[in-house]
Parts: sequence; C-alpha cells; structure tokens
Amino acid sequence: MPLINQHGEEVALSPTMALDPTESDIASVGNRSLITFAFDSSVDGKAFSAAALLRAEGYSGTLLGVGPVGLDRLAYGFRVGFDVLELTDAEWQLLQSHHLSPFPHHYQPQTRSNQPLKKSA
Amino acid sequence: MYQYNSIDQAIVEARVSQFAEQMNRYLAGTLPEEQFMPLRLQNGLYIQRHAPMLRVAIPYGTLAGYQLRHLAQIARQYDRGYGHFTTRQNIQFNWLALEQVPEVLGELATVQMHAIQTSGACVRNTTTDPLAGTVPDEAIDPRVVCELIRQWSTFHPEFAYLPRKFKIAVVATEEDRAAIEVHDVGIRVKTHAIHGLAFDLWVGGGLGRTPLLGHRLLADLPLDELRNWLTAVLRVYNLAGRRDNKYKARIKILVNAMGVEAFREAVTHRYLTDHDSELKISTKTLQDLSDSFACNLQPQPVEAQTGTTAFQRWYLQNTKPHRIMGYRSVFISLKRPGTAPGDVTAEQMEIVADLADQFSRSEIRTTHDQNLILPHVAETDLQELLQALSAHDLAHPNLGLISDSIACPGLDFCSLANAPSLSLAEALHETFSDLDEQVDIGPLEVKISGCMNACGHHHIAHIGILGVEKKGQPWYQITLGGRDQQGAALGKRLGPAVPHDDVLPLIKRLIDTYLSERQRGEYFVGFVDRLGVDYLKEISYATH
Ligand code: HEM
Ligand code: SF4
Repeated sequence: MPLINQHGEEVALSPTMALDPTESDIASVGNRSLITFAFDSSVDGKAFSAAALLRAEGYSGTLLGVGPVGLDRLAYGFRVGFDVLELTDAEWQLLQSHHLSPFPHHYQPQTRSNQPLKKSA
Repeated sequence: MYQYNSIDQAIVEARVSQFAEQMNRYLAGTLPEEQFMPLRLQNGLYIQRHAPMLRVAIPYGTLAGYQLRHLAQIARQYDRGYGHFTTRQNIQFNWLALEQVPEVLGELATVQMHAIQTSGACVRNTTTDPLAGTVPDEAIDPRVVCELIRQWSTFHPEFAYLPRKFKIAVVATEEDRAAIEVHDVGIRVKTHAIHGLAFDLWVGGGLGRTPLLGHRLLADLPLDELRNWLTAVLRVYNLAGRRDNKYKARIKILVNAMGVEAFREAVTHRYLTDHDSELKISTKTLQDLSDSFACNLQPQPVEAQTGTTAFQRWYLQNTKPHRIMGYRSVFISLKRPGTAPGDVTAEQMEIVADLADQFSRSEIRTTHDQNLILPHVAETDLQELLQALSAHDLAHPNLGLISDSIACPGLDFCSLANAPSLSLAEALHETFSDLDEQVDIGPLEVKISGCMNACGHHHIAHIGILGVEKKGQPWYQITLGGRDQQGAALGKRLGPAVPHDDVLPLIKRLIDTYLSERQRGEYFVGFVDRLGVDYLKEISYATH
C-alpha cells in the first residue's frame, strides 16, 4: 500500500517491525534510523502521542505510521512529527492537497519534524 | 466578550469546508462508516432516536446577542423552531436533516460559532462559572483560561483520537459553580503570593456509569504553566488509557487503576521531560484576553428596590448581585410548566437576544442548570426588563427551587433511555405548582436521567432520579444528598426503585417530612445529611 510524505508524494521505504507506542522512549529506540508505529484502528490515537514525544525528546530519524491512518488523519500525523504515513490504494486515489493541510493556521506550536523524504522513482 | 480574530475565523471556515468534503465522501460511499463516525462526532453530529442531532458549542457559556439571533434563525429554518440548552452550556438542535448539516455549520461560522469537538473522543468544550466576570472574588475571569484551553485543544494533533471524551471545567473562585470535581480535569485558578496567579488541578472525576469525584492531583502551580501540565496529563492518558472497553476508557478509570500517586508521578515525569517553552502563557496574553472579556461597567447609585410583590419575588429569586455597584445578573429560568427543561423557541431566543442588546451589553450566558443569564443589567432597568420577560413566559421566578429541575431528554428522544424523564419534570411542576410552597421549601436541586449514562447528572442532585428498566417497564431509583459545590458528594441510594407514578408521591412525602422536621434555617440537603438516608427511607417508603 502507498506510503506518503507530507507533500502527498509516494515514497519508497521498507517498514520495520512496529514498536509499541506505549513503550517507546528515546533512551531505548533513539538510535534507530527508522521507527514504525502501527495504528490499531481508525480511532486509535496512541501513535500520535508516541511520535510527538519522540520528536520532543530530539529523535531525528524517520517516523513511519502504518495501519488505518485514513485521509482525515494525515494532517494530524504529519503535524505530530511523522514523516511518512500509509494509505490504502483507494485513499491514495482520492488524496487532495486539503487532506494534507486542511487548516491555514494552528493554535499549537509546530512539532519538529524530519526533513521531507524524497519521492520514489 | 472575546472577539474572533482573523485566524480564529479562518480556522472555523476551513472546518466547514473540511466537513462538507468529508460528508460528500461519506454519502458517495468512499468514506467508511467507522471512519466517518469520529469525524461527524467531532463536528457535534449524533444519530439519535428520530433524527440527527447537532450540538453547537457555546464556549464557556458566553453568547452575544447577534449569535443567539442567528441560532433562532437556524432553529426556524432547519429545525422545528426551537433549540435545547444543555447541561454543558451548549445548544442542541434535535431535528436536522443530515445533508443540511454542512450548510448549518456554514451558517454558524458566519457568526463565529461552530460545533467543533462538542462530541467524540477529544477535548470537549470547556465549561465554567456561568457568572464569570460578574462576581466579586475572582482571581481572574475564568473565561480567559477557558479561551486559552479552547485554542490549545482545538484540533490538537495529538489529542483528537483519545481513548474517550475529555471534559475540562474551570473556576476562579472559592465557590465552585462549575462542578470541577466531577470532570475529567477540573481547574481552580487562585491568587498566589509567589506566582501571582496559580492553579490547582483535579483529575478523574465524572458521572456516567461509574460516578467518581476527582482527586486533587496538583496544587499551587504557576498559571503560565497550565498548558504544559495539561499536555502532560493528556499524554499519559492517551498512551495508557484503556481502549478495549468503552466503559473503562475514561481517565477516571486509569487514575484509579494506576493509583493517584503513580499517576501523579507519570504526569510529573512527562511535564519535566517534554516541557515545551512555547506553551508557556505570557503575561501579555493573559492581559489581552482579560481585557477582551472585561465588561467595563461604571458603578451606579443604588436605590432600594420597590415594586409589586411579583417584582420582589422575581428580584429575590432570579437576580444575583454584580461586582459593579448598581448592576445585577438576571437569570431566565427555562423550567416552565409544559416545556422540556432547557427548551427555547426561536421567538424566545430572539426576544432574549434583543433584551441582551438593550439591557446587558449584548451578552448572554448559558448555565449548567439549563437556564440563561443576562449578566450585566442595571438595577434601574430591572422593572422594564421583567415586564418584557413576563410577556414571553421567561420570568418564571423558580431559580434554584424544586421546579428548576434538570432532566435529560429520556425516552422521548434518546435511543438509550430506560425511562421517560420529561414527564417527571412536568409532574414536579404540577405537584409543586404553588410558588409560595416552593420558596418555603427553599434551595433544592432535582436532577433526572433516563439511564445510567447520567446526562441529567442525577448523582450530584439533592434529589436524584435515575430511570432503570424492570421487567420491561420504566422504574426509577432515587438518590439523596448529592451536590456539586464545595464538598461535592455523590447521592446515596434511598431504596428500591419505584414505578413512574410513585415517584412524585414519594418525593412529596420526603418534602413534607422535611417541612415538619427541619431545624431553623436548615436546607433540604443539610436535613438529609443530619438525618441520614436510612431514616428517610422508612418515611419515603412508608405506604409500600
Ligand atoms: C437526545 C439524544 C441524546 C443522546 C442519544 C445522548 C447520548 C449520550 C450518551 C450515550 C452518553 C454517555 C456515553 C458517553 O459518555 O458519551 C451521554 C452522556 C452525556 N450527555 Fe447525552 N445524549 C443525548 C442528549 C443529551 C442532552 C439533551 C444533554 C443535556 C441536557 C446531554 C448531556 C450529556 C452529558 C452531560 C453527558 C455526560 C455525562 C458524564 O459522563 O459526565 N445529553 N449522552
Ligand atoms: S441519560 Fe440516558 S436517557 Fe438520558 S439522554 Fe443520556 S443516554 Fe439518553
């Protein structure tokens, strides 16, 4: 299934085994270059906090979110610091720019994020 | 009143187009039901017994005249000509057509209103003291803090998919008029010798199936750190809260499972490790927001109020002192015979909007008891105001009395109900129709819920009534002695459930006992404390 960066471009990346969002502190996983979190369902939001915490604590590797993210949660995911999020093929067909950035402003400080990854060839 | 700036306005408008697009995908079948549900809920849209219901946010219970007038127009154009004020200071429309909801949201945005996060597993509309800004002993206008929380929590990217809903209440006085101990988080702001402004934070209170009072988690912390502490609390909850069972998913269950000490430790650890200096609240922000809420009234000379008995009665019962001399806060009771608690017609909304423009600096408040307030009325205008209110059935002088009861919609509207609630509210009006008797009985809160979800807040009522099902029939359980003020307490069960037609006779026996056995100056709730539920049980069930 397509993996998307914050510009809506498909990127090539091999997911690593998903970590448990409730037990991923910087001390134990901070040296990995890629961390994958899985959303258990379309209402599960643990990975949003897990990603935000790793970024707050200085993690600068790549953060990948897989599972039922959905078009309507992409913007949240990128804002908390994910670099890449998974979509279904059907969602990928429907993706438009406003799904990536539905709001012109935010009330919360911007979470630090990694540099956008390159588009796949 | 806080005025939306261009950023607030742009965000609300973007939300309208976002939801319209989501609704289109849903109707076209490309957005699955399970993904649409949290989106519609976070836009205040419930599917209920008869039609979709839209819950519109009234942040911290403050409305301007032009907003209420627009709500009236929506009620008339899209609903059946009325709206329903809720116990969380919001308003609901019960009869909308699903496809029209985006249009209604668009209408709301034109008057700086929305339904954002009025439902769903996210941080809900923050509630506060309905008399905010009018009482003398406030550390700060609590709406300043609510507005800061509104902004911080609106579309917070981490906290839109929490295990369950999250309700915050704020007060800034000793007296707690927002029931902070029965919220997921309760905040009391106070003045502090070192910090200037500080806050205490309660966590883990709530009603519903597992009614619990909150624990005081933090005390005497500087107010400028509030958003960092809230972030820490929510992070612990978002990661550790249960998602496997919706009845065990509120933060109160987590706090109890971890123990308060361990929870405090986890929150403190998060606060220290992940502190974000950008979340600090600057003195200038506090000052600017305080200025935007200030009512800027000039003190007026006061003369003793004279007038008819009707005026005196209304003045004593339905108006409260204002911190500025020469002004009163005027309560408009929405508990009248023949009307469901909290219901207001479009015409009445327009009248109240006009009266607010004319007499109350265009400001209106909604209360937890489902009434309205005109917060800043000059004493010299009271007679004229009363006349105008009386002409539209809005001057019922029963504030805080037995007929000023709260009831959820119950079996008449709600698909989860075990029993009707509204008919009992009506029966209270009939049984205690004599206002002199109501005044003699004194302050008494009756709250009615149609099922254990406790929308009617029966646990924190002096007399709580809960609809239960018994052999397919609606029965009612009575609790006594609950309260949401200082020394908040959950009501104690009086005895076995009774059928519908026995509820009012039972309450009548209780009240008669109170009237004959009370001590001088003793209110009903004090009487219950003194004599105990066991004693009162014998009397209440005497004829069974
Ligand atoms: C008309 C249809 C309604 C439906 C279907 C409905 C449904 C529900 C449900 C399922 C719950 C409990 C589950 C949950 O915690 O989310 C709930 C809680 C609640 N409802 Fe309603 N409700 C309705 C109307 C109202 C009204 C009119 C009010 C206000 C007067 C109200 C106020 C509340 C409150 C305050 C709670 C939270 C209780 C607590 O946990 O502290 N509801 N509602
Ligand atoms: S308490 Fe029960 S019956 Fe009443 S509105 Fe809530 S869910 Fe419905």
